[in-house]
Amino acid sequence: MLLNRDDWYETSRDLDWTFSYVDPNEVFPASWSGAGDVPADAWQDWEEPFRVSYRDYVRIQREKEGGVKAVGNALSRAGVFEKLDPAHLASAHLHLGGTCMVEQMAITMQSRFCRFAPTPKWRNLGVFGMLDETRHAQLDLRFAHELLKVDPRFDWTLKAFHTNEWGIRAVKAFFDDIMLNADCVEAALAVSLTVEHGFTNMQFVALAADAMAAGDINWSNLLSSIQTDEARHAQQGFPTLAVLMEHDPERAQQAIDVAFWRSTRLFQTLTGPAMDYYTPLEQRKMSFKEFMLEWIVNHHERILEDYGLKKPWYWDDFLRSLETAHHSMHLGMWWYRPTLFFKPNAGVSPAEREWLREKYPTWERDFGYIWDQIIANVQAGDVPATLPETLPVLCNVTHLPIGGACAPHELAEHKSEYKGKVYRFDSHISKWCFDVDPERYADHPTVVDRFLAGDIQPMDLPGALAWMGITPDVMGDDVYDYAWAREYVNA
Amino acid sequence: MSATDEFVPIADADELWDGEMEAYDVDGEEVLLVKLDGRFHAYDGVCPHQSVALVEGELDDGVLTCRAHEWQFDAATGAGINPSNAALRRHEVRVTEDGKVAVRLCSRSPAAARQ
Amino acid sequence: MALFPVTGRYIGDHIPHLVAADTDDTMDELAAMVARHSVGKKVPVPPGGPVYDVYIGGRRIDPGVTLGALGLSPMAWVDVVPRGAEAP
Ligand SMILES: [Fe+2]
Ligand SMILES: [Fe+2]
Repeated sequence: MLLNRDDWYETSRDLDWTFSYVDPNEVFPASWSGAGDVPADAWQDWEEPFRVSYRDYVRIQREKEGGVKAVGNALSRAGVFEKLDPAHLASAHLHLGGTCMVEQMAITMQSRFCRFAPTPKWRNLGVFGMLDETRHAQLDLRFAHELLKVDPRFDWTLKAFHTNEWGIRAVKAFFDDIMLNADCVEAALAVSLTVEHGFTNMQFVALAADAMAAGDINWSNLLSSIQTDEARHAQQGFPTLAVLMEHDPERAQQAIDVAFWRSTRLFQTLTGPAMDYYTPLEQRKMSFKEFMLEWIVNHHERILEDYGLKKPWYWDDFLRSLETAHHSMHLGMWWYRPTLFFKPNAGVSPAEREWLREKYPTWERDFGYIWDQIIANVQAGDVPATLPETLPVLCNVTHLPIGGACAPHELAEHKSEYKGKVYRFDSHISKWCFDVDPERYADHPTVVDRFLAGDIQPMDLPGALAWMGITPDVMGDDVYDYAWAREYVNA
Repeated sequence: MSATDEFVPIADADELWDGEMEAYDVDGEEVLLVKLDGRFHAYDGVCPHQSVALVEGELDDGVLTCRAHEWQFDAATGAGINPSNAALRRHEVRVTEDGKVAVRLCSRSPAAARQ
Repeated sequence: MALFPVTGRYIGDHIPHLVAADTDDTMDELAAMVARHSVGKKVPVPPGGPVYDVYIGGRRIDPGVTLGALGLSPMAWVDVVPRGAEAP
């Protein structure tokens, strides 16, 4: 008689033995396992909710791969790509440039789970996670490679993380920290739980829906296929959280509060503009704020509360930032368009602006007058007056522009002094992240720090663009050549 | 209690083949109706994991698998198979004399009303 | 004279800028350098024309004072408002 999976599952998974020739602390050093003060036998309670056998895994992944390939083949024959709205394309450029190498970094993180996680159950799941992330990085690369012949910007899928482009440096700063440099416990809390369970839904479910509506079936299908893996391997976060809540709840709370804010800031940069400005108006499903409220506030946070975790202490400020921060980031990204490797849509034609006002009641007061000035300059034929002449000032935690986390009238100075140096932040929340763990951030200079140190020569905007790796064939510009500004009468 | 006992007819009993499932709207809620071995079972139409419509999944050998993340449930009881600590919310079903399948949402059952 | 970068915020703009000032710059000169990135670009030209006040740490600085005389550290936060406008 054939055994059921549950009859042999534990035997096959729980490969562990008692070390007699070596010190267990040398096999699983706390610096990598992250076990800290959690007693060794506490990990016995670590139990993944969704069980995965290698046999099931291979069968299901094979089906998924077949699906992605079939759609891709059909669509490349149909020439769908050439018909896509150019504004939507920026979402794809930004996503692939900003996340393909994060998938690659995630392989290393999952491999660390395979080797150093404090229980064999978790090490076993790490194997599947590692295979998942390998699949994701390779899928992105294959997808982008197919499109190279029609669009050189897809080269940045591979290239972006090997440049000093400022936005990519911000993404890298976060994931270097929580994927490459974190022990297993911190990585499970920051990545598996916060980024993968919470935030990837924004990118891979919500943005996938927008992409589908925009007619980008191939990319939408790719995102959805990746998300099925994310949802499964994200579960490594829950039993880790359960063990921590039992033995070291403060550490769990702090790690998650830091990761939650840093994720918020990053998704306000990557996903916010893509949803509310780059997705063509008729094809938007919901606003970025509405998606955040549904997926992050209603779904993710509720589950965390079931584990006894408190909402982050800055909750009200987080909610307020959903009204403002991604609009400020978008405005800044559009203004600094020559520093981007894709063409952003301004997204403020009269009709789009009407939509923004309806979705964000304070948008007009917070940002309308700035766009009005830009529109007036475009209409007067003075496009140079809409382009930057110097750098912004960057946050020492998020590496994003100061001012990008709030509305202009809320902008205030936030700084800390550490070992005789002054560090600046985009919010009092980022300042708190720094203050609780300054060593982590102190030695990571921002682009502006590098500029002031003389690392970027010549010390002007063209010098900075060259240093960031921006070449003329990808340099960003207004995707519709300012047609939206000319729609305004007598601005 | 209303004259209908809150049971709402949603389908003809011969509308589904054995081993088939279909989704219906009952007062704005999506209900999944499953027919197994001649018996009907009704559940909340969305997966307790991430609210994906279960009707888009697969029903095979009495096992219901969610399309999105392969969560599996026993289609006859709603009990979670993988993960085992999850479960579908079950609604009461009866087949009326004129051959209709009627469902009472669990939120409308007398037990729920007493709470 | 020496190069002295500041974090220059013109009130109403959504971001402050890196402004490469000089220790010999007066507050009037500094204000003009900060305003250059914002006024007429992201905020309207003030009704009273391009004349500004500089505030540092909430205190208005006399227009003739030079940057070098203030004893600031590099990248100090400098607020610029139209002359006579209320403190930021
Ligand atoms: Fe991934
Ligand atoms: Fe992942």
